[in-house]
Amino acid sequence: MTTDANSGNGKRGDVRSGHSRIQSAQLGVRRASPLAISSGLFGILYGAACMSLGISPTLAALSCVLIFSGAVQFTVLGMLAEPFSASAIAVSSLLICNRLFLMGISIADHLRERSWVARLLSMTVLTDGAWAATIAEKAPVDRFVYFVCAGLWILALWVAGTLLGAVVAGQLEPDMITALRFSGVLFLALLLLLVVQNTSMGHAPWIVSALVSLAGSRLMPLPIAFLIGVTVGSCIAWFGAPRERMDVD
Amino acid sequence: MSIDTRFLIAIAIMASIAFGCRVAGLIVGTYLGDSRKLRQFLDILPACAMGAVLGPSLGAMTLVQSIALLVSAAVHLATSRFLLALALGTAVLLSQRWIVSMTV
Repeated sequence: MTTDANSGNGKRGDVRSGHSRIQSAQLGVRRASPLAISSGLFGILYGAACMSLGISPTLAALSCVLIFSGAVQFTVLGMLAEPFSASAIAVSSLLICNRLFLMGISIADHLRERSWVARLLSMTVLTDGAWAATIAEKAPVDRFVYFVCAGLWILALWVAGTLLGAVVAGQLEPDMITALRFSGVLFLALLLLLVVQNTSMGHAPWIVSALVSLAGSRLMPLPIAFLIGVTVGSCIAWFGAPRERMDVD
Repeated sequence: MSIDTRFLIAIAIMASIAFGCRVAGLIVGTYLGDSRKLRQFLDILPACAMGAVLGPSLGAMTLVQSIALLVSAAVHLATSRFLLALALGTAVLLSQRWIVSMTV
């Protein structure tokens, strides 16, 4: 039987790990650095976009700390014009945030050994990057510390990038911002590759999700196409996953 | 209503929903069974959601965006260096701007 903290035999949130908390924190920060720097760069775009709408840098930074979800934040920027609709913002946020719900389910097992207060507080830094870094980590680290430090590091650079973006907004040309917006897609695609490369999940489920969502988006509203894509990909994942093996000594 | 007021209301809505979704996932994930297959499955779900988000964007890509994506993916698969892959993909995106400005 394996004793790896990431194996199915033990709880993945076990603190009985090969790394101390400080080592886990350092590793979390180190592994999350590429993701944090990327988030910082997107922060610059977000800050510049906020400034172009007349939003103060303080409020832009506050939104980063309280929401910490670039996808939602960018989407809602386009919904601030009059007539202002709080319900439209709520529905859009809910549709985009279902990814956070799925990540919460996935990360729960890694945080099991901590108190509920600690786990709830740690949810403030749950984002794509922190989730991907934690899921992809194979070393026997203290996963709670690793996850929180990775998330805080990404958050720090996301906020710093936003403030910087607000300062340099006037120097960014609109077509440059338009070109760079697609780098959000690159970021998401690379995160996906990072997770798939470092786990045993395989490529089939997400590719099927993407294809179904793409085909569906031509025929029906995007949110419905998205939900169908996730459902079909999930079915592929469930029925395609290797059968659970009995551990017999 | 000023833009700052509207934005504050939007922040309150977005923050509540984002945190609520995270916590709801944490609670559901904590009380789900310990089956290894189930856990593997739960780890795949966010990746499926990312794939579903990417799908429509991939269908609407321009040639330069397609090249940028291919470059990023190839560099990441070859080197496993996230930042390098993203930087090169972004460089391809920005090169379109320079090419256009040179030809005009």
